[in-house]
Amino acid sequence: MSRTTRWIEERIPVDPEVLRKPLREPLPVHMKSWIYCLGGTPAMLFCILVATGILLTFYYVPYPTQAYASVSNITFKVRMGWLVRGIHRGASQLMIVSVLLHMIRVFFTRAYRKPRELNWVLGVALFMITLTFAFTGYSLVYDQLSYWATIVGTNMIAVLPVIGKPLLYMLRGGPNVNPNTLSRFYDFHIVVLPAMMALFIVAHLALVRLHSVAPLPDDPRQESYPFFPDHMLREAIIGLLLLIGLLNYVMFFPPTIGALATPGVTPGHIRPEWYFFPTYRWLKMTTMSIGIAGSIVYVTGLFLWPFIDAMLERIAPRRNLWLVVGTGFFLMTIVFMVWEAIVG
Amino acid sequence: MLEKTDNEVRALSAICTHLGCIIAWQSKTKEFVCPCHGGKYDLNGNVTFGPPPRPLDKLQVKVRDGQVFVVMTSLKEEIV
Repeated sequence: MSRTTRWIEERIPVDPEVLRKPLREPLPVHMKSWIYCLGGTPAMLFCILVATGILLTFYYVPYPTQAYASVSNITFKVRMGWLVRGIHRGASQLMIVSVLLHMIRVFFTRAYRKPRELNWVLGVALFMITLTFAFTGYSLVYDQLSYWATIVGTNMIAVLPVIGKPLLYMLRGGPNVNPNTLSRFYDFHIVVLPAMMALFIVAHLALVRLHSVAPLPDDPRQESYPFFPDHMLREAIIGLLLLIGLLNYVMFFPPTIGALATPGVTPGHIRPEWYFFPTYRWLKMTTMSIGIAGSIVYVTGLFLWPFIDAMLERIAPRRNLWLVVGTGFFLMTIVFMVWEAIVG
Repeated sequence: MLEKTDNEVRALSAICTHLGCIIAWQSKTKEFVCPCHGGKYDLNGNVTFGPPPRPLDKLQVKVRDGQVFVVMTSLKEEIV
């Protein structure tokens, strides 16, 4: 044992074997397929978002009269500001894509079934946090899209039964969208949401480890391989490819900024970012109460899906109702998204 | 939104009663259209199409010495 190792061990008396054990976690051999590495992608993107986000806070000013100018300054004047903002924006979009792909993979392999139901619930919570991150993030730019997204998004909350109005006042810092709203959104974006996400990621990973990775249904193979270095290497390759992809994306499509927020004028053909298209289309098609009630039912169904699956299995065993219902909702979401993208 | 007839001035709130965007007047179709979720209203503020749950708010108007004053406190607080 080297002097340095002994020095550290005397001061931090933890058995090194305890630290090494999680690294040696045996993984089922199906995890060697790349689509089973999607779970680590959002975690890596979160790290990229935290790093670039910290840099952005050096220059961003969360006050209505200065927010737009500060984002403009970051984008066009600050050295490498465009690159940092571009990576932050690109990583946030990729984060949503990767969480969605991970959820689709978990759904179709039914990895959420007993005893892993709570990890699905945690995963859906992480997805909701990701969407709230995205929503509060583009609200900070204080261009027209930011302002009207804040108006529409917070008004949707106001319609919620019982908690709607108090929640609206808490988020806006008053009855209307005002300077308090921006500073509150900023606070959520850089403090509350990152803390929640970090906590939920740790809990999500802890549950994965406690239950071990879900076996693939009908896979007869019994072999396993260690998390480190085999699986870690795959995750590192994905991380590297993500960075290369992001850098290239920002080089070819550097970030821009829309027109300054004008409270009295909603621009024609305004619409949110692509990941809110399904909700946006749904709200266009229905009355207010059905629109909000439908959204609540959809989100609740998503959270409770493992329990719904078990219930469907009890009602009609081996009829694969989970596949019919789940695929139906999945296709409906895709149709709404494409419909909104094409028709507008 | 102000409308002047022969003997009165009427004011309608331009805030869409669905989720709070500002409506725009379409002279071709003679209707107010919300750019956010496509709600439509007629000249009297009644909903003719889309998701808005109620007509546009009618605002109280006072005319003094030829000047038109709109009482903004008469705006309903449900969607702003």
